[in-house]
Amino acid sequence: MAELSAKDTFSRKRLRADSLWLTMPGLVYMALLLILPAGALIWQSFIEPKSGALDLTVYRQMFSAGVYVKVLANTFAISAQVTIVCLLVGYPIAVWLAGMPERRRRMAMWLVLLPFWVSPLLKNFAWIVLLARKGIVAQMLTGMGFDTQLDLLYGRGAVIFGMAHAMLPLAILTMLPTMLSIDGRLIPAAMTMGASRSQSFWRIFVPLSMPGVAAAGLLIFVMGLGFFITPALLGSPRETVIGQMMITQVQQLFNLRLGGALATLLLAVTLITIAVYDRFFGMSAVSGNSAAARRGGVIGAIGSALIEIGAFVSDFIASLFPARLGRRVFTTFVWIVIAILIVPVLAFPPMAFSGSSFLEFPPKSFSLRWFQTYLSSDQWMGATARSAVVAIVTGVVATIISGMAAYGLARTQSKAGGLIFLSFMLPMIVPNIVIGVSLFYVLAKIGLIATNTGIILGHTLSAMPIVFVILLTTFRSFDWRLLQAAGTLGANGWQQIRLVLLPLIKGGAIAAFLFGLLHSFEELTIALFVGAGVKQTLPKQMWDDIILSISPTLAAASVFIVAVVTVLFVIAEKARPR
Amino acid sequence: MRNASDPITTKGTTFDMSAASANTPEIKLQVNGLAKLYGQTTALDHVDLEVRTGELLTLLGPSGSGKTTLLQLICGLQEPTSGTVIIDGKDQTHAPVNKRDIGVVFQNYALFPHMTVAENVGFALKMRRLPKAVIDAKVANALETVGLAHAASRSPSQLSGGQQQRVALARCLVYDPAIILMDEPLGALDAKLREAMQIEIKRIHRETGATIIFVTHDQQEALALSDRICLMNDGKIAQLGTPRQMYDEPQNLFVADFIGISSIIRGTVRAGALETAIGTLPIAGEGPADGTKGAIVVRPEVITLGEGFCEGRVRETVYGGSELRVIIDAGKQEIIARAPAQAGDVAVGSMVRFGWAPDTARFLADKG
Repeated sequence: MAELSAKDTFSRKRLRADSLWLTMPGLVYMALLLILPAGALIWQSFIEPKSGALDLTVYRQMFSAGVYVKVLANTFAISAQVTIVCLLVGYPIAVWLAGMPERRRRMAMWLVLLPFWVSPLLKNFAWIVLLARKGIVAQMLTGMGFDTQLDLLYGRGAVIFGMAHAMLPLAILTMLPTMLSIDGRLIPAAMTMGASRSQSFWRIFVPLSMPGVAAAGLLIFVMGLGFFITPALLGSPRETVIGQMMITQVQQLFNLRLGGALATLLLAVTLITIAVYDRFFGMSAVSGNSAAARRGGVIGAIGSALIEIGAFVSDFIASLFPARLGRRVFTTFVWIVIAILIVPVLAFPPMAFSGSSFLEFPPKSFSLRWFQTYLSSDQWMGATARSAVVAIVTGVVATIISGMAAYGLARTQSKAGGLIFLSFMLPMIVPNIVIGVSLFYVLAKIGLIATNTGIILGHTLSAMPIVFVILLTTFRSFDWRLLQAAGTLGANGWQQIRLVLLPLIKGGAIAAFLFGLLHSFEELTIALFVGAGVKQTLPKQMWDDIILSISPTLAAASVFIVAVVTVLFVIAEKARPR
Repeated sequence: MRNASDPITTKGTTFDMSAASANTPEIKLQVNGLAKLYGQTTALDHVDLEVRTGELLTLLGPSGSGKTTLLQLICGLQEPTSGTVIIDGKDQTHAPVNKRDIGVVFQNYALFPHMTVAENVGFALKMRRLPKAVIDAKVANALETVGLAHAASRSPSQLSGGQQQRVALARCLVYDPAIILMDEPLGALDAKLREAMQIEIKRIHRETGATIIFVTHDQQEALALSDRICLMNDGKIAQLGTPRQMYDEPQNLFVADFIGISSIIRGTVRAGALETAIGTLPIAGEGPADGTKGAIVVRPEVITLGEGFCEGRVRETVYGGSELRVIIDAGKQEIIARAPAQAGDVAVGSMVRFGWAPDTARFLADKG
């Protein structure tokens, strides 16, 4: 026995030295394509290009012109409002999912996961049609006796609605794991001690679910800061946000210094938000392994006050109405939200098969003409083919790099592990638009702008977090003693990997590859900058068409994308280990 | 067996149960014809049970025997298909969990991770809207009883398994519920701690006079703790009695097999003795009618080795510290006997004679 355990610790020690270097390719990738470009972009915004001296003109220009300050305030306000809407609407949905038996939840999850994987671009595009002046929603509202001249689109309301709609699935999926980790016996335990149903919900379930809510709030807010698709598509000029400003500065005015200054500002705001969040909630809530830390201070006091009020109010309401009514209201709310999540996805096929020469829902006639237009257009087909190739290569590269890193990280006990994990999450923390602009700036210098390679490099970077997380979960759940067992049974190193490791991680690897592929297939921001209007990807082609002239061809392309996404995502979800 | 009129020893200031028990009926809990069906499967089959005030009754049985279902029906976490649950003379069959005045110690304690030990213990009192000063005093008192006064402001995750167990117990004791239900509360503890907690529970039970229903699948635990044991099998009560009755006078083969170790030798009754594969065995007292099928049940400690009316080959010996267990093959029949550990000279593979005094074994007829 002693011999065996000595050998055991020996091999573990050797592996520790072995495994961390496997994260190096990924870290180098991050350094070269994220930190270096972003740093360069920020640096040049402070430097006067001819003399090389420190120069703050662009910052002075930015803060003195009222428009930038207003845009910054806009960005903040929109992001905060979207965050609140997502949390308030998403929380009941997550509670609903958490309360289901496992098998039914797996089914119900599709209702959230499908909208999650359809890109914001597509979802917002659908709302342009559905919420149009004479669109179906306006007609329904008019039918219910509202004003006949309803302007649902192009305003603050539409932007908040569209953005919250795009991000709600993410909010739900972030809140759910914390809720599921709550011990199911705590509520019955509270009730045996005399707590009513609403008392035990407010005093036990709500406080324990808060780490997930805080994490979701952070994610949505940070993503919201860099979000530009919805304000551009569903907003009026009054809803202009930093992201749009950056596009204008970089793509139309070629003012990279001001673009860089805006990126600096956006990044600074993001990092400050994260720092403040960390101060109050701790980062552990985001990575999902929090042990429900107790909080004192302001947040704790506010929290317990809210809980007291919530418990009191819901007890009061419960005493007025029968419990069944409350449950019915809850269920109705849940299904309305789910319907709103799914509707835009389901609205594409009818729009695409329309015979009309403009987009309408519901369609008045049936034809295949828009599919023919889509399939016979060189521009659309070229974009589709490029997106397919880029997505596949991105999936492969991201899976290999992240796979090595995830293996290395899963097998290390080094303290650097946490830091390395955070490094791989960086592309999620740094707003996509900052990544896009900085890649635009750096890749232009080495001739990779407007090339497929450039787009692949950028997409691999932004696909890395999700691919990495899936692979890390896979490797973490793998029982490494199985390899030792195979070794004692006579398998050599390669046989251990081929016969034991690979078959068991296959599902996770396939899922990681497909999710990386999907991410690239639907990515707009990086393609917008790195493609530089020359190398069009499918989402970029759609973006241009939506901005210039909306035609039913878009709906045909959307149907194609949704079909691809649905099929791949179903395969990936089935393959993913739990 | 203690009953309600016995004086209850209380150490220091504990719980004022004696005053309450003076005017409570002797029967604390009455379960009549309680049944629970899940679709076609019967989890609980019309069970009748009475629990006396102040007693510690264990629900014992293999998994799937219905003991946990019975517990959940008593505390109201499930609705019965039929039957009634009467607590303190009041029909509580359909009362919601939070109105039943029961306390539950859950399997893995179900302590609230976001509250301190004191907040956990005080939760039920807070739900009953007691003034804060009263809550504080009662919580301190309860923590004192379980010996955790020093840990009041800690979080449950900072405590060891045994300490968490005590907090769960204190959380029930503090609001003095009519009945305390414990669902395999010692299952997660290691053997040593388990034994210590058993003694602890016995002490707290004695000091507080609480009525406790204790669910376990461990017959040793049941024998050690209980005033009475209710052994369940297939959703029915197999036997209800004191630990001694269960061990010495099992009423059917299931009970004999489940409680303690026994050798069960099957056969058919002929002329007041049992004809079995290992010979005709004597039946004590007046024998059952000829042709009755059944078995002789013999406990290991009554079997004498070296002499007797049977013979077999020693298959295995198991050393257990204070004793040596000897497993004998008599034909296809397995016999488990016990020898003093010092004996030491029982060789595996050797033939050995064995027997027992007829009145130390029990004949039990097959069911039906």
